[in-house]
Amino acid sequence: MIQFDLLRDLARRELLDHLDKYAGTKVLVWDEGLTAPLDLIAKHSVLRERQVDKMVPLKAGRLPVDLGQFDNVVFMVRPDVHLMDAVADNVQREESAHGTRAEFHIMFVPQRSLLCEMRLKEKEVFGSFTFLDELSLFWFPLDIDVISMENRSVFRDYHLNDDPTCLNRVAKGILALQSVFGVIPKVYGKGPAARQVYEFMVQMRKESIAHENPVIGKIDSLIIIDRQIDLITPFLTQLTYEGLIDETFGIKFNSVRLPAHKFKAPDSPNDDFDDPDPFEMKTIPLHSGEDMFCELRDKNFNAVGPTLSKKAKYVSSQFEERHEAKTVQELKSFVDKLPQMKILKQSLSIHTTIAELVKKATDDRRFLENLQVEQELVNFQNADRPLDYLEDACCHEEEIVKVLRLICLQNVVNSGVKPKILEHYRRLILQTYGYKHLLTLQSLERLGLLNLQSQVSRNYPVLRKRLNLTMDDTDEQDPSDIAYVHSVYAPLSVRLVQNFAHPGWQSIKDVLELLPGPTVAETQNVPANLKKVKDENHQATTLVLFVGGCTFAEISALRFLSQREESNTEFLVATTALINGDTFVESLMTQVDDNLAPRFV
Amino acid sequence: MVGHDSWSGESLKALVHKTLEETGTDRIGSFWHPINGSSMTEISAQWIPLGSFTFTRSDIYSSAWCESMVGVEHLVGGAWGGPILTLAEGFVHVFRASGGELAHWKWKNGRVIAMGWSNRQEAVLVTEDGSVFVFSILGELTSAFTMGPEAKDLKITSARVFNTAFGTGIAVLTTAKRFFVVNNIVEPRVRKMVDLDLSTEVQPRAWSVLTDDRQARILVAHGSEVRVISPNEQFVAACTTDAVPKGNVQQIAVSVSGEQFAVSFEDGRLWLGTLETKFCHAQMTKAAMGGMDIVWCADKAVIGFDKNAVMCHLVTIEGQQEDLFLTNYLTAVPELDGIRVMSLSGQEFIHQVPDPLLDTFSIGSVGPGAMLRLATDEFYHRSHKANDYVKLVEAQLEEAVLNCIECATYLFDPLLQKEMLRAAQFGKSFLKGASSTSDKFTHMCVTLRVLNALRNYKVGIPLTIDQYNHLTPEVVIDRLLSQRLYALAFQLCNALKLPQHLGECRVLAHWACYKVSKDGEEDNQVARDISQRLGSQSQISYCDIAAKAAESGKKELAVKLLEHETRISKQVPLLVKLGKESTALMKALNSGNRDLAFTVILHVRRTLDSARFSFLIRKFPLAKVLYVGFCADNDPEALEEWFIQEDDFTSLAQFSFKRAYDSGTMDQRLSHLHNAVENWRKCKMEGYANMAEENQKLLKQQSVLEDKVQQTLVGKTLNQTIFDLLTSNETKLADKLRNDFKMSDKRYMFFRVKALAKTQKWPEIKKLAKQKRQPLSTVSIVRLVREFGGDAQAKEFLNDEFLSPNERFDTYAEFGMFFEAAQAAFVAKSLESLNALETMSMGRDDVIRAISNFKTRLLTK
Repeated sequence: MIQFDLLRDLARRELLDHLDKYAGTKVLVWDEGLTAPLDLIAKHSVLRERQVDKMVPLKAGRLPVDLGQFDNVVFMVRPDVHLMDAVADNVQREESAHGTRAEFHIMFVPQRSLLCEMRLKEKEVFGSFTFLDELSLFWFPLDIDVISMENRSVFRDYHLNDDPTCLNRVAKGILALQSVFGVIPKVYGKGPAARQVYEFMVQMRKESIAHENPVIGKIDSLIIIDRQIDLITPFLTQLTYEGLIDETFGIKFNSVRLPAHKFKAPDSPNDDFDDPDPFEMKTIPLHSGEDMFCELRDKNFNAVGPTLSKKAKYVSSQFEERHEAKTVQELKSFVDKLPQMKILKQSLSIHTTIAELVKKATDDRRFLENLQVEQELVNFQNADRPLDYLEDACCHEEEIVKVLRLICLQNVVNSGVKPKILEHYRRLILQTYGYKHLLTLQSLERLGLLNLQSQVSRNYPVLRKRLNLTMDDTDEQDPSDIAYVHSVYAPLSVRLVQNFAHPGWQSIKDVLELLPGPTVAETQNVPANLKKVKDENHQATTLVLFVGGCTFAEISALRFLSQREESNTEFLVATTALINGDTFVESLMTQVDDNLAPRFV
Repeated sequence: MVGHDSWSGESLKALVHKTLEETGTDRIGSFWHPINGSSMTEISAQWIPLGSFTFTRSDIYSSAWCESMVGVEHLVGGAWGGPILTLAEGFVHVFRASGGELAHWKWKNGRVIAMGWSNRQEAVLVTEDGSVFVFSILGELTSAFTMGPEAKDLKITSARVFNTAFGTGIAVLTTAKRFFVVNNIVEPRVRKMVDLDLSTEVQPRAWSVLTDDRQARILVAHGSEVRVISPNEQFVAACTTDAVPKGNVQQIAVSVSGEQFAVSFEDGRLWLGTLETKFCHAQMTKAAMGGMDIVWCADKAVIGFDKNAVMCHLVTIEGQQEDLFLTNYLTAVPELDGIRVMSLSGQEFIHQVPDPLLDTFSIGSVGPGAMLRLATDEFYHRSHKANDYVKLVEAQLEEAVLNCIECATYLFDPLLQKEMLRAAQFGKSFLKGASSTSDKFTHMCVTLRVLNALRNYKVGIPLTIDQYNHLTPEVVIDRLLSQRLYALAFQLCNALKLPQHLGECRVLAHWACYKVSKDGEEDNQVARDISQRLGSQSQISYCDIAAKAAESGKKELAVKLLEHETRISKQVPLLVKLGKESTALMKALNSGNRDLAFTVILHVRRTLDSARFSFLIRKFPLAKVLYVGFCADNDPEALEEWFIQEDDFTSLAQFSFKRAYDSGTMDQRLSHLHNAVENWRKCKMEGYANMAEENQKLLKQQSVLEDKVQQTLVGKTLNQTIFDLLTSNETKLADKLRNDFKMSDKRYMFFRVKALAKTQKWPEIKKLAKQKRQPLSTVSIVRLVREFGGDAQAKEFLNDEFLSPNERFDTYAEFGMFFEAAQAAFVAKSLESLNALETMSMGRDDVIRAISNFKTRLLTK
């Protein structure tokens, strides 16, 4: 089985190779957008071994360190023109302050950029850099089966701004993957972005085929899903454990930040004296390396409680064993199990706390109402309900992303809204959140997320019927269909993948035709000696690439498909970003700052 | 002096051609034909044992053409079996080591003081005024520089061209007795050596360059002393401190390694050693070496050559001496492992006998190789003795085989090579199991074929195996390419299985570059030839070839060749250079490579006038997108200009709208908003125009209202503004605003109630709540009441007077009034509601009892 950990090792090696090149002590100046992702590939201790004595976030002004002590200043940045201004400012100030002996280097992640270099030249600091390097880190290995580019603007850039250059990097990423896991013989996909990514892949491979790594193939097929073909799923509330943690608290790079005091052991002695600081946050890692989380993450939240209590019973029964242990041998075997039990107990306590926090949020009246509206929408019930609910939400000044999310969902399900409702929604948004959101409304209209219903036949009812997108009777405890991830709705994207694995896309040709953009079904040439060796149980490996982002619920659904008994396909996930309805809507909004000073203060 | 005609290119070519025909070796890759078919037994006959060394002489090429060289003053052979450079009668000639002419050209750059060959096999000529000219092997001037103003003004008297591991250097001595050195002709930086501290006015004659360091030093004789000088110091070398009768130094020679040097004295003494150690200090047995050229033979010996004698004199570093016959010596080229000598008796290689040959061919040797050879001999003579010999070496068979293979590589005669390989093959058949000898055998067969092909007359690169290994196959291919021997180079790459980019592809690329720069062929034909030969191999850069064509002024050919380039990133910049901006832009955009696209866009923005620039950008939608993005980040004014020019009203509207929010004053904001409205109207987006207009209206009204109510309203949303007005009891103003902006009844009512609750006006809320056809649900009202007035106030509303029957259950349940809720559910006959309530009121036994009571009553009804 493929494990993406390998990518992390490769990236780490590349990073350390670069660091070794800069002889002597180093200050690392981080682009803050990279802090968390880089933490995934190299922990601080590893960096310290390479004489990285100090790390500071990138900010304009003087560096908050005494440069006299360091031989090197290394800037690690994304190729973003705006970041160059801060870099240039740092360099200029340090150089004018005192003829520093430190050498400056810049490391672009994952690629150098002409425009960035131009900006540095404009600011007259380009010559100050000894090394301009690339850390070709296209993918952040979030888990053994999930990699992400962590670039949330791909959907916006491609579908709203008509700029396909962002997909060039996606294609490059796939080629980088292929250089590690071998060329993927079959490529399928749906949607305009899928086609474009495939075309870039072909062109790039043609250019570099001579230098192709001769690696034996490990992946059988690649399915490229353009987010545009399934805009329903991201707007729906995810109801898996991991998905709900993300919806309520936001998961960033495998960890979630929660109030620290909730996790203090009740019997810790300090509690009596110090009031716990309610604002102190604790970062909790969420990774499949932890058995408990691995078991819980993909479950419907309603199944989490029972699982936790089962586990709790198990743990206490295990601890009880010590009373029953009579012989020395029995006692020894009990002691041997202790460390494991301790870890289990700790996991249990952490996840019980998280589950309680999530439960609190999901018990909220507005959460439940919102969920109900969503579910009615995908089931075509209660057509008037959204308007009423949204009016209410706006009175209470619910976050704008939540409001837009529901509006978009209604729009997508119905392929647009009636003129009167459109008018009403626009007014609701502008009057509640300000007229500055006018540009956002225009973007949403262009993307078909808030527009007039056209006379053309609506797709969703057909899709719903043909692909069994909604189910009334999902068993949340022991599900038999992927619909459990949203309780009533099966993600369209994953349903397509499921149909691909069995019985194949031929059988849903009519459905594919309803979805926007072309269908990709291509074969890449693989030298005979590099073809994948079939293993005895004929397990196939399929990489699903989401262009424009995917949700935790979708990943859970894919894992569910991998784990089903009759399944002979192992699914891996690559995505341009992990998203949920909030972050997705956010990425589509146009930020407009109001610079008018108030007259009365 | 031999007449010009007798050794000119023409006659020489004919001569060589004749030789080739005679020997019948006109097929490239065939074995080089030996001059005297020596046999195995004769190998050791030519050996010259001297102390712990054994030297030998191997003939390389026939003497035929050497005769023409007698008397030529400037004659220099290149190391590594390199070509020969001559200057005579105003012409420079380059010959292959085997004699064929490679190039000649007229010399018109002044009096030549010294000549030599660079590491990269370029001809280097130094003239009287310190000018240095570097020519390719085919006579193209590749660079020229001068050794500084002093050399130029005062002239130089002597010069040396020297090679080190780091490059090729030049040292000159000016008439002012000062030395100047360039360590590497690739980056000529002239360094002055320290001034010589001389006691006489005589110009130093004997000097050489010591290259044991990156920075070369000069060894120069002064009377009986040898001094070492560098840019910053000078000292007397050890060789002259020996307490021996003094005589003036005659010659100094430095070895190929650049460390060892030899000094000959007038009185016939010879000193050999390094700066640190002395090897020997010998009195010559024969005539003094005074008039001789002394040359090192692979760090083990020096040989003194005399143009007028029939002997040369060999002295080992142990001091042993020997005379060798040699008629009419012309020149000697020190090599890594010996000396290549040209004389009237031909071209020969004087070198130490390699160890494997010593082991195998010494008279009476019982080494494993020797035994195996004998066994093979007997075997092919069908003699039973073969078995005896095999038995003798059985234990060392592998060693014997390796020994024979190695011997083959050191032999020059293909027949002898074959014989040794046959012996190795014979021995191999007795080896059991897998052995490394097989690989070695195959490898050596290939290497020998390569060496023999190189030594062929037509090619004339007589490399020994050690030289070849030291030089590496890649460099050997380079040398062939510089002589334009493309076919041979291609075959060698193939035989050696060099990686494509170092081997075949590189050769093809060189060939193509040569082809495009040559005049006389029609462009289409050239392009066709090249693409046919190169195919669509992505490893070959059609771009480099096209660039070459462009360099030679063949733009059309360049464009044609570029069509074959698969690497867009290489193709685009050249297309731009060739003035094909539109194609370049299209390709760059299609590739999706942002940087590449911007390279073109920014280039055309710089170079084209604005009309042509716009025309070009307009052709490609993506170019527009990228250019707009670029301007948004870097040049907002250009952005607006662009939108105006393109009549892009939607973008202009958005641009103005953003600007409105950027501006800090109300007037500016309103005027930008006005522009936005206009532009949206122009592109028929009435909806957005109206919304922006409403924005204007709101701002204006807020601004007026601010004065009335004396509080900040501008910048607030309509919801907030109305709420603020209601809270400050400005109900009339709020009412008007609400009508102007068509705020929904429900929302307006919500803010009314909220404002009342905030100001604790409970009776008014009650009055509103009792109204019929109330847009706001009572639950919402109660929630607001609780928010500002707490549970106590909320309770007032929680009764059947305010709650309509269908609100009752939900509201009671929400506020924890379970009995009332149960009652309501019962009235509504909803078993479902009762069940839901049951889970909600877990732990409240009294409630549970009441619920089950209701449930039984419902069920039994």
